[in-house]
Amino acid sequence: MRALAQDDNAVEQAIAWAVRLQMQGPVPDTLQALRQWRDADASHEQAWQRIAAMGAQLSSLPPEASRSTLDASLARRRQRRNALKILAVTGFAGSATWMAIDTSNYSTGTGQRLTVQLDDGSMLTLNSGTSVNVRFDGARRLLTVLHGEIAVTTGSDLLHRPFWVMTAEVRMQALGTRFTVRRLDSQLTRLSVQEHAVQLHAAHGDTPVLAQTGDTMLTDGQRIWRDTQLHEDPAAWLDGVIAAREMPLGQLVAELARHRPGLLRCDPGIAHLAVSGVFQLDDPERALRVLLQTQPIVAVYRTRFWVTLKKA
Amino acid sequence: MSHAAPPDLSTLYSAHHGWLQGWLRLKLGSGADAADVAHDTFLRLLQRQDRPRPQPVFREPRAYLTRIAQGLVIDHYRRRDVEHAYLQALATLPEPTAPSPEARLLIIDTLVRLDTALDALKPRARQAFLLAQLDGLTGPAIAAELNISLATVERDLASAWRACYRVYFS
Repeated sequence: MRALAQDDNAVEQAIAWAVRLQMQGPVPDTLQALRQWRDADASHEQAWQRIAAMGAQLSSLPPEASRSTLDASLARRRQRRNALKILAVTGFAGSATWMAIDTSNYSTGTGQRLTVQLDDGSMLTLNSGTSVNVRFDGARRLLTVLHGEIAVTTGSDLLHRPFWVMTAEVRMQALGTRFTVRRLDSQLTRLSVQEHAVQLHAAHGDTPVLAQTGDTMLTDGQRIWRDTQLHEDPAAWLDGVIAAREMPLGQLVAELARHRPGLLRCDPGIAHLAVSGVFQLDDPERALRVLLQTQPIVAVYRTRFWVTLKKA
Repeated sequence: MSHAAPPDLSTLYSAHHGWLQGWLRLKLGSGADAADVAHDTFLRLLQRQDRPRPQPVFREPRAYLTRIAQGLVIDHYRRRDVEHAYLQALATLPEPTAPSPEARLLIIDTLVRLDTALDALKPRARQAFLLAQLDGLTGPAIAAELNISLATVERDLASAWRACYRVYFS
């Protein structure tokens, strides 16, 4: 049998409160005493939140159907236990992995992308050169993007915990949604919403801003503004491509360089050239060949991995 | 900070995935279920990678994989049982309103957890908790119903909450 979480004592006490409420019903004196206990210490409040979240979920069960379901499930399991002896081998303690309190770090190197399913069913995808911390606890789901770019499709959480994504510049609350978040090099965070809405709170700003489907917003930690200079589909990397629309060559080369090991540079004299097209991320060399064929430029190779693009 | 997908895991995958799926097919009797559970096993492994605890996986890969898979097999059966029983209950019981598909899913998820938690309990504690939680009975009513003392009801309810807490938060 596995032990309770770190703050055993507070959890034990919170359970005693829940039992007292069940034993007596919600008596005003008890509720008031419980309030005082919760206020006395942050660990009390945290423990109570967890117990209350479970209690709320269990209380929403329809009594009749639930009882008959649980009884039938128990009966079937007994039957199977006798017939197959599967369950005798393992026991149950190890299988209760539905909702782990979990902290993990995920990261990708240059040219890698990674998709993981989080404990609540949300899908997290990391673009090339990304590092992100995931922390789920009783009160919230939190992703912290240290650098790089992620895409999130939130799952519906059984505990209805809010879903937050943080960077150094901004806190963003996902409101049932699909979106991408990128930390640009110059202390900027970019958010693009593909579905539903995300609310932004700049780290040093006051009024939150709501971004909806199709919106792309930028923030430097003070202000939040709409990105009107967007030359690409911000979610195209999920399909393994850069979808450029009149994108300055300098920017496109920087994008390709994110996905390509080595050094890829562009001479300032040609950085303004506007390029449109779809370029495969997994084959940056081919993208380069396409650029060389369609633009008035040449590639100067110092080594195989060190390339500078110049005017033809 | 470590990479979430070191080459070792893909080596592990190509070396043992086929074997694991075969092992699961024998256990579950269905190729599709076996493929699902095998996939979930590796997903679980991927999710566990960055946790600080030591990873015995590369020392005894098959023992470790089957241990994860066994837990998932139990979850799989449990979920199927609960889902089946709940739909049956819906069909036979006169519930006031039929829940929407989303509400149903939420109810089934909650029932699966509760079912898992109740498994760790004595039958008496299970009964006491259901009377309190589903039927809203208070301590004295439960004591009378099950013919036990108030102190026993209290102990039983506390053990049920602990079991639920483990399922939700361990």
